[in-house]
Amino acid sequence: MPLSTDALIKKAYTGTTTSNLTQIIPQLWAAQMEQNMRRRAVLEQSLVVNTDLMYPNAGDRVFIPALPDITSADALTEGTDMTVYALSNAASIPLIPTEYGKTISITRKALDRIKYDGMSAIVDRLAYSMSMRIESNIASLYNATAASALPNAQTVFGGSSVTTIPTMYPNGHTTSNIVSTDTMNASMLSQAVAMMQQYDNVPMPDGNYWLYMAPDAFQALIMDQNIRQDLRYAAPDRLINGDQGVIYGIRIILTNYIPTSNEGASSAVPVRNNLLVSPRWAAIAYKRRPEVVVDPTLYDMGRRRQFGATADFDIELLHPERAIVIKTAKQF
Amino acid sequence: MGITNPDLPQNPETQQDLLEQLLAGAAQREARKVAEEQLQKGSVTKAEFSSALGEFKQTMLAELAGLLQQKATSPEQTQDTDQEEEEPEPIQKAGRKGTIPPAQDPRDANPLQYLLQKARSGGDYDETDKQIIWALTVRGLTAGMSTADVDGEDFGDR
Repeated sequence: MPLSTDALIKKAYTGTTTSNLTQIIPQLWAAQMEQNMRRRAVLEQSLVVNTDLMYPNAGDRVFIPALPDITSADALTEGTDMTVYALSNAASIPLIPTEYGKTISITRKALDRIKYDGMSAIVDRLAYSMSMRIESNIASLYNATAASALPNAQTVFGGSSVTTIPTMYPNGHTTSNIVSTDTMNASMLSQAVAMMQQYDNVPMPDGNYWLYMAPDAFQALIMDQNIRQDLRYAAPDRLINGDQGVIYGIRIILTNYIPTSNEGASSAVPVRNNLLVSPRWAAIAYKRRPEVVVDPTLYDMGRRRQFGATADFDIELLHPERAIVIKTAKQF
Repeated sequence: MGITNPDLPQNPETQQDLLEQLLAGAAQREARKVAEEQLQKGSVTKAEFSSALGEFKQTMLAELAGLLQQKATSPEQTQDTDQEEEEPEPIQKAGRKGTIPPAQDPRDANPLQYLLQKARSGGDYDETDKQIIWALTVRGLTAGMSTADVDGEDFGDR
């Protein structure tokens, strides 16, 4: 006959003390923290995720190789040695995790009031806080300069080297003259796909490039007459059910973390920096996955306890030529 | 003298001889009958069987007592013997069977360990799990907030 809940709780208490409960509590809530983190990992899915540093005594940095492309294979002659191709500008990008965290304070009155669901809601908020940090850091790579060790001899633009992600503006405009009517449109997508293919970028495993787009940019795109015609005749179900789906070989993914920059005349035009990416464009390395931590100290004469979430990670741009920033005027 | 049987001899000595003859004949017939019954049942009598069984019992008890004493005095040698034997001894086998506890719910056996393992494998908690987790969480977070709490106290004593 199974034990009653009261008997189970009494049995679970056996051997526990204040000090070891502060270690047990994070373990009990780790699963929920992890589930929340993965559910909200939208941009992170396009990155190289490295967990080598999470092994004990693994150090505080990891090096991820960033190699240049090699020219086409030579035609060989019998009896003649092959010409050796030197990877002279090969590089390794160091990822050095730093600490991130968010702490909250909870009163003993609140602890009297909340139950499992209340604590669960707090863990949800802590996980969300950490997700916002990770996703924002990834999205902010749109104007990052690649690490100095990155090979600068890439010839994707006819000989010019690339150290930041290339950008595209609608209607032939630039950062200095973009206007508020330069919204996302079908032409931008087809041009972006053509550019990615000219860069010899392979698509993601699902066969598409992934475009992380702001919701207002998607709204402008869906109102473009060319897109509407394409959807009407090619994929009417997609037009109706609202699935962002795939168009022109681009998988459209909406996210709220697309950063905005002020550009145009007098920097008066808010601009969305939508990211079109292919594999290995960036990487994230974890030293510690996000976890709940409990501060054993009591505050305000024992009326408050503090606990929160911490993580150690680093996010770096690996290959700027493997992504494109599609700049569009912000709608709302 | 009353009425007498004219066919019977009237001499008392003659009567005594006749009675003895009758008894001897009856005894012979009964002995023959018993012998025939014994032949049908088998050649072993109850007394013989009881005697043989008693001897067998005494021999077995003596051997078992000797074996148990040998085991108690030299466990290593007994272990070697067990390893050499293809089958374990019936007495020990029966004893081990008796010590196997009935199947128990892993949560009942050690609720804390059960929940920690469940947390590592995805944390698919049921309602009872959640109540235990909350009890542990609130116990840890409120520890020391009351004057009744003493740091380092084993909560199992409460």
